[in-house]
Amino acid sequence: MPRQPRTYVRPVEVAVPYVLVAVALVVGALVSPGFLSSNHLSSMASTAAYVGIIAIGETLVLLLGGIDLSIPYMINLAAVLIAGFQYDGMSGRRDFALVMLIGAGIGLVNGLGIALLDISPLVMTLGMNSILQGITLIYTHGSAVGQAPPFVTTLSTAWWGSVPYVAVLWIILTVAVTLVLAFTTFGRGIYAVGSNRRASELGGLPVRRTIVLAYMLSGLAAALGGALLVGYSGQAYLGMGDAYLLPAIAVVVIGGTSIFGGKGSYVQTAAGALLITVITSILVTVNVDQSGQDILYGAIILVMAFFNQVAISQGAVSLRSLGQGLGIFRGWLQPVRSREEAAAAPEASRPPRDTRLE
Amino acid sequence: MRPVTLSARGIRKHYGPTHALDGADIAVHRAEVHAILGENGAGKSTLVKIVSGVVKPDDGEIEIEGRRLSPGSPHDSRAAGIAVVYQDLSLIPQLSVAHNLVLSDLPLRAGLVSLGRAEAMAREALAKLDLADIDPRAPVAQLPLDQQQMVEIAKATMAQPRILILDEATSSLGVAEVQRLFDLVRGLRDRGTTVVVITHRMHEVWALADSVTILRDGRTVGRFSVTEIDQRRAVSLMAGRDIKAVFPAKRTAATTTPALDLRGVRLRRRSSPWDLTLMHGEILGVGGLQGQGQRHFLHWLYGAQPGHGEVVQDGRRLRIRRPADALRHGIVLIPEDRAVEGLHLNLPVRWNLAMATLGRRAWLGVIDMRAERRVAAAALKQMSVKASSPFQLVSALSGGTQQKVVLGKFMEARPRVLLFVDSTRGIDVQTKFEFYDLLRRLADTGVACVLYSSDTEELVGLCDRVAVFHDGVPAMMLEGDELTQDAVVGASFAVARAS
Amino acid sequence: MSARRGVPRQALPWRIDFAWQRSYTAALLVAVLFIAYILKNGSFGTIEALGISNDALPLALAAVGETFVILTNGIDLSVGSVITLANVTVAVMADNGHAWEGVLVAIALGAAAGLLNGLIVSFARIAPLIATLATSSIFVGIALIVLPNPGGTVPGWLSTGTAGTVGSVPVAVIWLTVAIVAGWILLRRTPFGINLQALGGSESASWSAGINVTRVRILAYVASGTCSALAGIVLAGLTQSGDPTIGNVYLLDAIAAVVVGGTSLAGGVGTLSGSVLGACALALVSAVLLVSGLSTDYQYIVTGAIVIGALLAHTLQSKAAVRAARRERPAEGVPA
Repeated sequence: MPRQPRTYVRPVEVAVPYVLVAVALVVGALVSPGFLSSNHLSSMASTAAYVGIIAIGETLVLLLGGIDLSIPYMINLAAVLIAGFQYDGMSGRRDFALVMLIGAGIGLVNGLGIALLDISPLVMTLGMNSILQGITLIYTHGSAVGQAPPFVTTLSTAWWGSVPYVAVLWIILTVAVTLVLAFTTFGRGIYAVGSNRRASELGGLPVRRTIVLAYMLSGLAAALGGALLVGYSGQAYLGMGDAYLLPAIAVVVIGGTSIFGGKGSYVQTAAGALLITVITSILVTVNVDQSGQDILYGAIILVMAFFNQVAISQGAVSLRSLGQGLGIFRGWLQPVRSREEAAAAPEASRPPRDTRLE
Repeated sequence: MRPVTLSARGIRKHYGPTHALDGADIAVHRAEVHAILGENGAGKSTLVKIVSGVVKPDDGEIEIEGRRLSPGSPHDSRAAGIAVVYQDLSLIPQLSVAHNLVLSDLPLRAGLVSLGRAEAMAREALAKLDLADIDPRAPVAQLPLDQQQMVEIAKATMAQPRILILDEATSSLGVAEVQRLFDLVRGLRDRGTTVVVITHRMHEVWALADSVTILRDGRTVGRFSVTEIDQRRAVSLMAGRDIKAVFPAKRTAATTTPALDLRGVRLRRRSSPWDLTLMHGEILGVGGLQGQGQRHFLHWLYGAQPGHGEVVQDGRRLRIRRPADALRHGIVLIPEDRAVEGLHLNLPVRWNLAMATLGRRAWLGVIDMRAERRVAAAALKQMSVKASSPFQLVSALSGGTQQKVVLGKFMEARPRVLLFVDSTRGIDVQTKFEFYDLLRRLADTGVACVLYSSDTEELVGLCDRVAVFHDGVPAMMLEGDELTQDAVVGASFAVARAS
Repeated sequence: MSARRGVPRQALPWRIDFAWQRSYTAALLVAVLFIAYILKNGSFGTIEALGISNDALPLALAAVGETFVILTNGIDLSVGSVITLANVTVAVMADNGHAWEGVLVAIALGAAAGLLNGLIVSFARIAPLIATLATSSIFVGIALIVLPNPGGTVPGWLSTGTAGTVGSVPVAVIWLTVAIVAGWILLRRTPFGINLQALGGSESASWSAGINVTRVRILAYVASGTCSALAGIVLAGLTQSGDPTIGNVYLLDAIAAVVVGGTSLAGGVGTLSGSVLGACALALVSAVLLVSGLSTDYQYIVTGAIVIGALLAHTLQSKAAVRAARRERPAEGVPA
């Protein structure tokens, strides 16, 4: 029996991704002399901030046992709208507020469909993504105009001394989200629902309200991400959100949060975002092209997911079960197993059940 | 004297430091119904697994019809004619009965599955068990639970087993369904199959079996024919001492105040409305045949399921639309399956204990951590639970301790009305009676308890009065001298017949 | 004995069951859209059929592949990238004069991709969502190495064989029909198909019955990869070149087609043929939009709405069926 943790989120689990970030930084320093310069560190932090902020929503939703696949066009729509409203002469503050409101509103629709109508999160958010894509296309008639409001541009591009504003924003949000998850009834509710929805219902928790709120925050985070991205790149363009879906989910997984819900934290996700950014930066420095990056990206996710699985199941999954995989062709010829044999054999050959599909 | 068809001698099996079996023997005669009794952890399931070859024993030997069985080989056990039906159904819900029956050995014609032959094989197997009324083309999920259980047994008999083992086959069945199962088992026995029955329900043993083996702590402590021993003695053998298997005394105080007034209750659309008054300090039993709305009633009262009716407390009409509302008014439901409905296994003990009363220690959504810590510590102390830290995950605790955590969590809500849904299912005798004592003590402090149970002995022994449900309506109320086991069973069928 | 001998009121004929009832929605949708198209367009000849069926075929293949995996209670997010990989492989190898080999290699790659997915899901116990998300990135990377920019050529026989006509009947229509029939046979009449449904229905029960669950699951992913590869090959024939971004749009549409076709995302209940019909329905949607003068931008909104709507419809249908069954014999607490 492993030693019992003193706090719920095991320090080990939070530390590991940060340790990996440190290792990656060291590797980067070895590869390129200027890697650890304050300039470069800040710029990496700033890059990580975008994924990090967008991943706030994905973290909450995954902790809940759901998923949000509407991020790509939520980002895109927010970007296009905030630029478009600016172009039409709306005041910067009102512009921003309106777009944030729209993001939360779309998240609300997602949440209502999932919580009230029992629509699978996969389908609901995937469908919503498509709908948002259509809206984006129709609004822009194929070409996006305008720029972000000045204060958003400043937020995205300017620095406060040697620290980018956006990184500061990220840190503030990280602290806020962590506090919410740890100390509020809403945060506790997220863990509870993600861990066991039925028991949460019977225990009197406001399950549906929790779900809806989580998806609202996800929409809001994506909208914020979209606004910041427009500020960064100066204009909105179609397809700008597509590149963020995989990373948003990946950094959550890499950070160690379980996609089945009920286990993990945002601090870990933030580490995941930093890790991916540093590794990408190293790859770029070493001149690995896009294809190489894609491949390594996928491989890293698999490796991290595997080790997290090992940690979660406390050794039930192990190199041994991988070894079983190597013997698969032998297994083809073996007599077929019965339930009793499966009952006596390790759990290793049964993959986890993905409840978000239901 | 019929020959011995299955004999196991000196079976030993340990898992690490624990001995699941430590010298168990059984001897089952041909074409008899043999029951194996024992508390949780006595080794019944392990013995079954060893006999069926799933688990290899450390020591001991098994003989089928005089032939030694090679240990740890499911193949050999199956070849020797052993078939097992487990408690959790192993049917594919959306496939048809025929598909399920032939699944292990799909009949092929030119490489493709032959539906005609599958259906014919299925009909044959069902007819042999007097189950010809089950349509082999029907998807299993559409069948009522008892028929699904029958199909399960039909599946096991398709291989023409010599010995059929039923492991807790009746635990999810109600009175009527159990009867049907008994008929089926007797039919099998009369046709020469040996049936071994593992059950928790004592009265079933005496109703069905010819002989019984009693296990305790992994050892056989007695082998009797059913006529040689009575329930009382069996219980003491199972527990190892003369335990107080006596129900606590019932309520004697004549007048108390009403805890809840239920008016115009209508759980199903076409039923007529009914009223019920729940009194402080009483234990009200809810009985009747399976599926007559008992669970629905309790869940409705708790706000977890829709229904019509007024709930009045202290003259005030309560609006209960979800469990949180019920909890606020002191109405608490202890769920049926603690792992699935009552606990968050992967969350810490402390969080579980605090779960039902989270709102009480939160200000503007922020939880008062110190108050939570105090509450959790107090609860742990009161239940004398030894957890190495309040942040230990519930999954690391033993079953009994987990049950205590569930109770602790709901007790924290200071219930005035406690609703129990079949809470003693699968619990061993000792713990059951401790539970009855606890319940009576709670009632004596004024709490109104409502207990739905499929165990008539429990209903009669524990409850002050019993409402026999039919079709969502408490059709008959039995109390005082009227309240006997025969009366409850009789009433369950009578109200059904009367409708 | 008052026990109810619950013979279901409609003894369902052998060939009609849950899954088929659900795929009726897809068939209905196709019929409705077809009529709408004819009303808007006035005529329906070879050219119209060609356009729609060429649109539908690759999607149908991708959807069928996805259905295999979804039936096992999993999901395959690498569908788009395997399509891309197969597509560029064929284009590149055909460009170098090895068209036939290209097709074979592409199919082999698809199967291998599926095998990888299946192994990861079964033995590393990584959730299908994450595993296939990760492998999709890997496959896209490989595709970029094979063909960094759109290009390559495709021989005439491939184009005709996938996107041409036989007389006045588009080849794609023939392939689609073959797919529907083959899908039905595979799922309902072969041991693999039955085992697949069993696995999706109840994994422990399948082990119990002696089914090699791991093998079935891995085969499902292999099937998915192979079908995606076929889709990529068809697309190569259609566009007569290779494109490393061609597969991107197919993931959502494949899942949409599966949902519309009536397959339950929870596994076990569904049909391959329904997914083909779902793909046809989606192809008809864009055709109807086109012919009605609406810009294709609306297509996305309509697709999204259809997916959500279809799922809602199926969910309500299932709930109604459960309620109807419960009314017959009101046993509660034990879900089907």
